[in-house]
Amino acid sequence: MMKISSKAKTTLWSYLWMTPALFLVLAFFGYSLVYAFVISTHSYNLMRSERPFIGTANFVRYLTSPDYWQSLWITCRFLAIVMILVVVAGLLFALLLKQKVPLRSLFRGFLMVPWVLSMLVTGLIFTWIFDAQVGILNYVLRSVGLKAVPWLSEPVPAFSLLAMAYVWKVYPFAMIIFLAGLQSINDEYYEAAAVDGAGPITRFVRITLPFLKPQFLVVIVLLSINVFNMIDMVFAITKGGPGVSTRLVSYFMYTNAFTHMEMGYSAAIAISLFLVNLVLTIIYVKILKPEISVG
Amino acid sequence: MLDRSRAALTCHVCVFLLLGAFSALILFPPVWALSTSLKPDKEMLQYPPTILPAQWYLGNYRALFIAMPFARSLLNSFIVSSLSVCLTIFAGLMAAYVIARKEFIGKELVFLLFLLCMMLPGLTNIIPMFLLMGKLKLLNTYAALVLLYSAGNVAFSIWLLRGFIASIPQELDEAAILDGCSQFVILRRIIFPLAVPGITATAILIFISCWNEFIVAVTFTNKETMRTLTVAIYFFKTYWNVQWGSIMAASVLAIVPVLAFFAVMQRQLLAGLTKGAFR
Repeated sequence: MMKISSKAKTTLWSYLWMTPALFLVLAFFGYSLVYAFVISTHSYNLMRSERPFIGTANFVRYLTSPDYWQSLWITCRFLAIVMILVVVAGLLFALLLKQKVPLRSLFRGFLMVPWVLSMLVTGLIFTWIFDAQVGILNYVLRSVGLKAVPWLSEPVPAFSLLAMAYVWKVYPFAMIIFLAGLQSINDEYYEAAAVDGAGPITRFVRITLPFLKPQFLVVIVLLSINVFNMIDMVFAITKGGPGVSTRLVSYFMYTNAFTHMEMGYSAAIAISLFLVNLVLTIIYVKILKPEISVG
Repeated sequence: MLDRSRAALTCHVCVFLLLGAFSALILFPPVWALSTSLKPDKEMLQYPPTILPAQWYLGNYRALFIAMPFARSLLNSFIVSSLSVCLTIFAGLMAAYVIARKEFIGKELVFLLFLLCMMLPGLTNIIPMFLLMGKLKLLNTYAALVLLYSAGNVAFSIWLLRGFIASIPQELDEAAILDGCSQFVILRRIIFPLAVPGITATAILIFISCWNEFIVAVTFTNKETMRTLTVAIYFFKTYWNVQWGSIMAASVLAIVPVLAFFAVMQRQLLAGLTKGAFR
């Protein structure tokens, strides 16, 4: 009896201490989620004062809209491309940084720099470097005898530019995850394999890659979440153009809300994004499960 | 034997050279931004371009502060980021302390809630929050940004701080309880001083994320006087038609504080990053 009441007391007291954090989180995520569902069932345009209940009409509208599916397709294509590049760059740099060469931590610092820069500033710097007329890159291309590329006025170059800037900005994250993973592999495995006559490639495929499986999963899931919510760089570089060739689904949602003022319709789209994020998050929590020890 | 060590040496030299080459490639964009920001307009558009400015020209920086309201944006970013860090650390530290140290009913559930909030990004909340802040008459205020940034970062801070607090030996708390110290005194006198390195790293990570934030800032402010740094730079580019020299000067000024933090605290921040989220 004594024990139960002391636990009840600790519980009450603990929640009291968590009140500020719980308030912030619930006021933000809890309220937003509920309210997003409410407005998604209304025809809610900021330019009109009438906001009638329309049931699932907003959902039907985007699920039957080619624009929505197109933006989703563009997002998936973007994700596939940046995923490959981020994993390759992250893993390559991590493997190099694992070697015990002089100035290693300085190089690690240099290779981490993109991580602290903002998406928006990164986007603008890349826009300037890739400027079709006066950008340094087109100058270099011309001076080695290649043709200048109209980076922002054609779909494929614009898409590539967006992907390159994004990869530059986010690969350090994958690099650090892989580096931590590599450092946790016991050297004895490599030594034993070397004694058995395994070459470097065999060792990489048979030892390194299998050991890095959790890191691959973490990078894949977190990168997917990030791409589905990435919008800063689209603002900074392409604004969805030319045409709609770089209109990611996040940008599609945002412009429907804040350019066309269609709050109900956009909230309905946001719910589809939320569901994607939720599925990815659940996968992530499942992967992390062994690492999450409460207390 | 000699052959083998020679091969290992060659390998090391190759790795060293590769790291150098990749570092140069990766550092090119910010270095080019710096170089551009120090050139006058004429030299910037000159053909062929000069790699380094012929002479250091500070006109682009001067223009930011004289012809454009850039100082105000710097100040806004600084105020909003600092207040967000304070509120986040205050709420996060209290919650992290009880999660790391106490057994209470529903602990697993609370922890899962915070974990979900850390992972789920804020973009899907932006519409409900915009309408709410409009109703509360908080659009174009520091309060809106500070509340949103704190809410967005608090779960992340709990995740990091919990780890730092858990690494402090529990015997210290127990000794203090025996001496009759209250919980608050324990937090202030024992946990807080010992967790200072962890708290600093967390605070800097949150500061960087607020300083760099763009979408929330551009959505919740439309007055020029309330713009944060990233929003101001975006408007220079998109609506003011400002020359690239000044845009790059503004970008350099936005980069310098975070880079300074990073240079000084690289090791601690990396520890935080590997533990924490993707941001």
